[in-house]
Amino acid sequence: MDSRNHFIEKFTAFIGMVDDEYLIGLTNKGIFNRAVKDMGSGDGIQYEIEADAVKCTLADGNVCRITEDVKAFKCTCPSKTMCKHAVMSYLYMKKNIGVLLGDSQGAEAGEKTEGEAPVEAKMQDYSPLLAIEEAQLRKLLGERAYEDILNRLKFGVVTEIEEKSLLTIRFKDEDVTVKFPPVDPMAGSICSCKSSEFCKHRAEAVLHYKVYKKTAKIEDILSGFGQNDIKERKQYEDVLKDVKKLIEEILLLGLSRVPDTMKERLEQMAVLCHSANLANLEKYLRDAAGELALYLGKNAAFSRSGFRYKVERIYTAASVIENCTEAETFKMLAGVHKSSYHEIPPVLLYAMGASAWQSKSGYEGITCYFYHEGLKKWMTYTESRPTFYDGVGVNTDAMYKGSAPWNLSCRWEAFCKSRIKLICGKANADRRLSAGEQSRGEILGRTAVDDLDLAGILFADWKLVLDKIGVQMMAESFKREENGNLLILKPHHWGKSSFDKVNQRFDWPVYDEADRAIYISIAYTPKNKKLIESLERMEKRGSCPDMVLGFVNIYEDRLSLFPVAGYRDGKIVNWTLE
Amino acid sequence: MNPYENISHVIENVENILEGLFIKGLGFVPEGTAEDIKKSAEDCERLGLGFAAEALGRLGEALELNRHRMNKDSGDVVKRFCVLGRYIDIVKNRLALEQVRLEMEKKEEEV
Repeated sequence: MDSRNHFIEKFTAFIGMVDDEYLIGLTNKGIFNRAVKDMGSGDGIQYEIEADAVKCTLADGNVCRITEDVKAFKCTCPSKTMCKHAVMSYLYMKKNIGVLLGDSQGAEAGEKTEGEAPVEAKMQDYSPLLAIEEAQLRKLLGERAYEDILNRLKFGVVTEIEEKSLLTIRFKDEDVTVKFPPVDPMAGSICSCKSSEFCKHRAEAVLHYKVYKKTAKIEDILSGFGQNDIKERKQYEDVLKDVKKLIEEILLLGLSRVPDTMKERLEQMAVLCHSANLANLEKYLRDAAGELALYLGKNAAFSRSGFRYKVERIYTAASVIENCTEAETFKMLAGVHKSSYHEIPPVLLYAMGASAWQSKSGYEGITCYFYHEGLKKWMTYTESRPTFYDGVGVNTDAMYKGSAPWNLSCRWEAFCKSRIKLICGKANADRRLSAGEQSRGEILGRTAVDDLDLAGILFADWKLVLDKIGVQMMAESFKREENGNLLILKPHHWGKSSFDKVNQRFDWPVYDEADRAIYISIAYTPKNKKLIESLERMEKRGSCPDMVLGFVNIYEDRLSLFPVAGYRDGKIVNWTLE
Repeated sequence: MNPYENISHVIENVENILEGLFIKGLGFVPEGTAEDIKKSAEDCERLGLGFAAEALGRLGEALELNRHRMNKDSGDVVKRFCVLGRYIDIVKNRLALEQVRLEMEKKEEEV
């Protein structure tokens, strides 16, 4: 008897909160409407309250057993998913809730004819959800899916939360709704994605609910992003020792005696670091391998001091990681795999320009620079091709006139000057966007640079530019933000350009109100010829832009800008491409 | 007179020593290097670059010890070389920033 009473109590509590929307969420509108129609046809349902279920015998002879766990229903019909018989059973028991409550008041409250609105839902207690730990969610979903959720949280996902008979969490701008019942919320939850398993939307909804109820903070949840467990020390201790030994070998031999095989050994070590989740070390090793390849190939682009810096960086980083005992510091030093792309929520991106480039490692391409107004950060999208295959040239002009990504029906030329909503996008830790099959863009109009809040990247005072660059320069390499020196300058006036024939360099000073100069400085190369000519033409015509987008550095004791685009009269001109 | 001129000059000397060691190898250090390192350490000490002076001194000692050893202790000498290299890099970045800042302030005074 006790167990029967206990079941009745649980079932009553559950059936009281079941509403039409919940049942539709469990099945679909078609099945629900069919169930309602068949119920209204007048054929009776016989029910029997058993020890741990309610047995409903329907007019067509099917027998359905339902409980407070919606997934645990059993029906004699061949359907593998929730059938109309189960829906009819739940609807019938809700109508006859008085039977369960054992008083006429409950029966009146529960009785309703078809088409009437359900009884007003009351506030329920969803505290069991708040007790779920982040570690549990991580284990349920798996590392990859959980990291995707954290990445989405970093970008900022807006949710609407409603606590009534069901806890409803809607992800704004996305067609996703998750509902939790108060009784056994995890097992009884439904998601608009129709997944019967515990999906990532459910997990994300739990996290948002915890933040909403102030039992968790976003910063604390995000601290779990890119987690490397310090207890797995043994995995990487050997790798660190090997990294240091390799660098010792290079330094003891000296650059003049380094064998050709050292490049492959650096790359192999990078692979080992990747497996040991030492992402920063992996990057440094690949950088060093790339630089060494230039030396071994007698390439003029090789920089001896650059290679020495890279080698020293590897050794000191490995030593510091080896001696690190704090989990937070270790996580920061180890880094996050940049090759991992994670889902981001729908984002509004302002394309601010694009530039053509050529890398030392033999790639050429175009990068489009987007500004994310909410995060106040740059995001990039790049298309590139290798140039080291014989007979295969790369034509960035043709790429610029080619199709844009993200299923957009426009060319790159328009793509890199537009306001775009990106749905189902993916980005890595450096905020580089990818072109996944599912990624879809929607052009909302042209980017109006003057209307944007560009605080932190727009400067009219060059002293503030120096402060900004100073922070970047003095930061450790693993703390430096990608595109941290990509700034928009608003000159007060322009100076006169000059071309240094000895050093083959074009210089054009731009001044702030206090007459301090930043030099647009471009080394002459066949690739940069077009850019220099564009700027010279612009100076001759007197049509200097109001603002300039470019990379600022310190070169030869002065602030130097490599220009990307100019903004004037609401127009964006990409100087390396137009 | 640029107040950073002396420091720039000394840092450049230290960098030249490091470059020389990098090319020839820490296991094949010629005799005169110890003298160069000692002189550079003294210059650093004079200009208040205490860390560089001490690091150079220890690097010099480690290199000298290794010259006379059959079994080279690579760990110690490489560690001192790399730490000194990273320090010089930080100082150079700081110098570059301060020199630009100085130029800007000069310009402000002129205006």
